Amino acid sequence: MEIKNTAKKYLDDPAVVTARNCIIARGEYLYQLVNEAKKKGLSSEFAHCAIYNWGDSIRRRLKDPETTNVKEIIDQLFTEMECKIWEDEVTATEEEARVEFHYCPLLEGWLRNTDDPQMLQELCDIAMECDVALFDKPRFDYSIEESFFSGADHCTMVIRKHKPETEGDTDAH
Amino acid sequence: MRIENRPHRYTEDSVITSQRQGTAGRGEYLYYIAEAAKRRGIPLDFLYEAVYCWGKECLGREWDRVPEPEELTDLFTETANKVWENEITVSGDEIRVRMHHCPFLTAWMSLTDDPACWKELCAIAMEADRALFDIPGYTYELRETVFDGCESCLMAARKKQVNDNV
Repeated sequence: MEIKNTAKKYLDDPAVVTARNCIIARGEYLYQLVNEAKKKGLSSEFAHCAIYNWGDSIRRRLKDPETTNVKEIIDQLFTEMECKIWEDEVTATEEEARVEFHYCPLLEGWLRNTDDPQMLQELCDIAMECDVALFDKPRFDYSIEESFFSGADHCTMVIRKHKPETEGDTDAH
Repeated sequence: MRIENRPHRYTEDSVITSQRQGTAGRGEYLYYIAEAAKRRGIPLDFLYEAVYCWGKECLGREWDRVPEPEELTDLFTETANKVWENEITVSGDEIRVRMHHCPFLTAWMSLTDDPACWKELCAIAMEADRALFDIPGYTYELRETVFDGCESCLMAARKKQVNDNV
């Protein structure tokens, strides 16, 4: 599987490069933590829970942690610096957002340690628990539409305000 | 336990601030992973081993001879020295690194007020430094820590003498 994950922009911006290097290091840290757990026969379920909790702690630090306005959360999370680090393209309304990120420093960290597609996907699933927590149910529906692992040169996250499906649905109250 | 860990220098430097924040992020990762493991009754020895491996892979260097203590100052970049407010001295056969600020500790102190937890996370995180100083002909020691009431943390690596272990 060829993974296209190359940073193309802001390569001469010291603050962006520094931030990327820190995230690469965090990715390498996560690889080692999960790899050592596997060697001991441990399930990585604890890592999923840990990163979800980390994401939840970030959510609770937002201006309005319980808001259902998608754009309000997106504007707080995807700052100018964050968009540079991940080479994001972001479109957002109150109801829906699409975030395309064209570079993933975490993935770069993992690729320095392994080329095992299963391990890479697992590490990504763990890392993305952060976003699952940020855009948690029942407020939002969150999905990944494209990813580096499917051959794309970017990942696309889609976040939609959750809409109840029927009139009798308790979410409507 | 009162610990003073505020950065005093380079606080206006955007690159150093970015690095401190990024390092703190890694500290937060470690906190949540350790907590999740503990809640499940998983012994934390795998974390020590993982961070040691990370240190070896990411910080360590291959040595084909016993270096002189002065050469070990190169293990610390200018940026790292600023981030941690390192004071590095070489005296005789040893190199000493005194760290006046720790971004990891900043993260842990924001997540818990349990000093025992800080100390445990520090012991895990310092495996990276133990890996860094895993150098032929040297012994490594964490001599002073803020958890023991010292103003700053001090680690040292000493070149073994011929008479050592006799």
